[in-house]
Amino acid sequence: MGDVMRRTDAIVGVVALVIGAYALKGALALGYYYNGAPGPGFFPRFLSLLLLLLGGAQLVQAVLSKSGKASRGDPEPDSTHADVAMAVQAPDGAHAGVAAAVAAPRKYLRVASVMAGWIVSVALLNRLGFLIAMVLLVFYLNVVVDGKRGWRPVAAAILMPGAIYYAFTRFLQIPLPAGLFGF
Amino acid sequence: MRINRSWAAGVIVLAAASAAVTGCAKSSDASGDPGQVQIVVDTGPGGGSDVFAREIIKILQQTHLISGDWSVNNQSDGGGLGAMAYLRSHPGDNGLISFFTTKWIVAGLTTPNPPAQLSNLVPLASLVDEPEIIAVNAKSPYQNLTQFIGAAKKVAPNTYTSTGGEITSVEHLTELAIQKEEGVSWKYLSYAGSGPRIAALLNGSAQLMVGAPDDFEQFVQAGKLRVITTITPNRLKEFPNAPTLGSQSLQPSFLPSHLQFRGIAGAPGMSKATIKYYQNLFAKLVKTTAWKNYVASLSDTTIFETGSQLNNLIGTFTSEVKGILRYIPKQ
Amino acid sequence: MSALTHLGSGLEAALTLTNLVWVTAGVILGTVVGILPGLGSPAAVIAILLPLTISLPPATGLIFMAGLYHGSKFAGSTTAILLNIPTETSSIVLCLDGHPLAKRGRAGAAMGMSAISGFIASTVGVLALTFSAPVAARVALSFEPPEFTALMVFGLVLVIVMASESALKGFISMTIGLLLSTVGLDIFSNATRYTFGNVNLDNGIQFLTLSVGLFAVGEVLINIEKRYDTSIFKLPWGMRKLLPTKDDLKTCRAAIAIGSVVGFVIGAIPGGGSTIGSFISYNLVKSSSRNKSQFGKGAIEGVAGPEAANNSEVGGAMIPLLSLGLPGNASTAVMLGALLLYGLQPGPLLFTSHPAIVWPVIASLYLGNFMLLILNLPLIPLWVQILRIPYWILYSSILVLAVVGAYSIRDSVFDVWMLILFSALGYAIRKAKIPAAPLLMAFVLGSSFESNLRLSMILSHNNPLIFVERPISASILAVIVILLGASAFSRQRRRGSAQVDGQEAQTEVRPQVGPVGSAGEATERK
Repeated sequence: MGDVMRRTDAIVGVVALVIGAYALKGALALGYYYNGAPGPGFFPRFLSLLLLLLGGAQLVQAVLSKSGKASRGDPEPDSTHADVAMAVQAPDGAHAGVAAAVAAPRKYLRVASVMAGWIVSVALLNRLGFLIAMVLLVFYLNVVVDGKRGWRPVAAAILMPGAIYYAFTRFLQIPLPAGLFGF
Repeated sequence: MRINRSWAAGVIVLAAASAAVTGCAKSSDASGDPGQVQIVVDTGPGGGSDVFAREIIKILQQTHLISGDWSVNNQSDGGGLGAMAYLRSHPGDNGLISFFTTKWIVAGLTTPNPPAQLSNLVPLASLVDEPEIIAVNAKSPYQNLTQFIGAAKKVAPNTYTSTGGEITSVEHLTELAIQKEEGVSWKYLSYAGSGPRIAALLNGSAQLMVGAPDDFEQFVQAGKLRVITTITPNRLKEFPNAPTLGSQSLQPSFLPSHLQFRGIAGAPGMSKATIKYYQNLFAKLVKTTAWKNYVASLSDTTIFETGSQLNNLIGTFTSEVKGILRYIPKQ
Repeated sequence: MSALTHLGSGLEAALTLTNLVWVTAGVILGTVVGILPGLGSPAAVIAILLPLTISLPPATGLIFMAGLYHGSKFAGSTTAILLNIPTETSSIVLCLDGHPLAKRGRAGAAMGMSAISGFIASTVGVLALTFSAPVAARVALSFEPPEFTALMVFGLVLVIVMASESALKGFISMTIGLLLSTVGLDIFSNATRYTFGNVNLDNGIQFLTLSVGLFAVGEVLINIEKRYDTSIFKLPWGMRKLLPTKDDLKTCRAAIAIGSVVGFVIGAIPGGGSTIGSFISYNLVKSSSRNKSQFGKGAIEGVAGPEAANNSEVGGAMIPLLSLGLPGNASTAVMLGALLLYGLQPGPLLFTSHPAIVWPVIASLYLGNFMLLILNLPLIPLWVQILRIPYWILYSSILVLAVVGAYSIRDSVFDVWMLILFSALGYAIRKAKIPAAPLLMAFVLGSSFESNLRLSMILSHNNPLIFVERPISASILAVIVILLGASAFSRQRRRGSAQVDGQEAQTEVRPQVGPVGSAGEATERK
């Protein structure tokens, strides 16, 4: 886990440097002062410089640290969720790290396929309309990604988006994307 | 086998549902009435244009001038740019109109590569002219704008402060025009809403504010603020002690005659029958008592114009405001 | 008539059967509509149902709105606790401890505590409002840009202090949040920043797309790395275990007290902003608590404190709203709009010219909270059943609802794309063990910080000494310095004993291994 963490930390550092550099470029194009007071470029300039500094520090820390130290990011309030979720579902009490290493390629594939499905359905929102696009999405998620069989996933795929569509467009009068079919 | 059956069941149900749930395209009937109408405004719920739109819908319904469902669509990006872009991206929708203000014209002029401008839409009619007035804290010594400018001339430039909306707002442009004409300058604090501006005036961090009458009315009545000038051809009866800008010989030559007005514009490609429908509808609206009372409560004046007169109104404002816009500092 | 008599007659007027019916209807409708992620903020709910309220007479309509407000606030807390979805800025903090509590099977306790502490704080808020309105209004006015800047700095410092576990990553998260807050049209100079010419970004990044994407969907993406046939939450059976225990209430006494006071004070400052109230309350409660280490992992005080602040804030926010017409946040801004539609101009005269409407409104805001408690407390076990839904259904519902929420901000698929972008970001930063909360908090505080800083510089002719020359801002800055000093000092001490506690820290991450924390917490396992 330590080496993976170090590599991730290094990537974080590099990404921060890249974002910082890009942000700085944008900030320099804006006025530092405007009309006698700090202008639109004032705040972004300092922030991008700060980000460059932090990214550099992170990269340095990741490269120079020993394996144990880099994973000190663990007991954070927010990422506890990730650890809790994974630990909760490892009933045999296996160390999260071992289970993760074994499932690594598969879990990323799952996440990627869910995201891909989501993205495609959103791209089709204006063509197919909300109802059809979402029904297809949920169907895809339940049957293809999660491999559910039987009437349950199909029912869920139709009823859940259907109920949401009805509640929002008919009951609350909030427009949802309509496709080429008019709804 | 089970999969095939549930597949089939699903497809049939879906097909049936789609058939049942048919949307309604927003076409108009023969009289041009589109039935369901959406009014796009450039503020969020509770903002000036939003309240204006809702009030008008209320009056239209109370006077039975409309029977269909009219709703407000808030597109608050970019001070009108988002609203204009929204209309432009829904061409031919007869049920889509907007309540524009002169702010939209300014937005189109001050944005490089704007996504849409008022000229991309179909101007239908103008509705009201909104006066701008200038107020100070009641504790300050200025009884009229001449005195304030006089005081500003005696001190170093940028000693005093005024407050208003964004730098391209009507308030600021007005002030800028006056400053340039008189050769004075003061600082400007931009706040997004009218509330913090009034607070600034009340606690002394700003000495001057340009705004609409209903921004100040309650505070004037409570004795907290004083109106020192109105930018109108004649005195407003709500503020009898406030002289007009013209009477103080302070009217800059390049200040637009109609600083802030509201009008209606429709989505591009609107059918001629629908255009006529809206024009007739609003012509009737401005004759109702409810409308007249509402306009009076805002201290506005009705200016209902359509066709070439409307185009003139818009065109004159556009060329006049360019005169002031050149004074906005470049970045 | 004294203020108390006014309140009394207001309560009397509000307690008619019609009004009670309407406030109840408002609470129920507000909860139901508000529970839909993406609509949870009271501002959105009230805006959507505005046409309905406008058709009612003023007093009834405003009372109905009061019910809507409380219902939707409760719903917002519900989605934060159950699903980690912060629907408005004030519920971000609730996710930090509320959701972990839900994951440990204490969702009902968290929601119940949220309702109870909210009610107690509301009482405090209404009483404080009644007695201190004129004084508070005067103090509120003395907050000018330098004071607001100092307040925002305070908030940002708290953000850093909160992320002190891994300072560097917390800082990076915060800086990115601040950069994101600069995206959009700058009203001072009419320059567009980081919008890539896209007008959809002129108003900046929409909070909802960032919060739902970063917090809710980001978490979903982490969870679905594995396939689930059942629910991922461990829920106890039995009604009594689904509500807060007496021990919980005792533990939270201080939190509720602190939260009530902080919330009211912040709410009374026009433009104070609801985020900062719940945020400051959270941090104050954490630093004065006996189980500091539990915060972030499921400390019930971490729910009680912010919720108390959120509710007493309403009482506080009434002061600038009704006396000056200055809305403190989005919800009061919508209420302001509604008042205008009724022909009621908020301002210094409202209290004197329309007392027959104002005081019943204040009374019914309180009444709404009371009705909320009565109606929703028994229903909490029902709401908690949402967590029993098999995760494969739940997560796809979240994805669909997220699309609805993002789209309905302004009828634009663009916002849905932003949501997707931030969901990916949420997943990535979780994998990289970067905390998400500093990003979101900094985003929310960033624009207020920047504009107030620039306004201060305009006022002072670019003299930075303005912050120390003015008494209130100087005091806030002094508090910040003390806070930083204390935090650094305690971190030194903790680092000394950290090597010893290193082993224990490892086991704390897996809470299903026996009860963790102080005696006050009863952890239930099936």
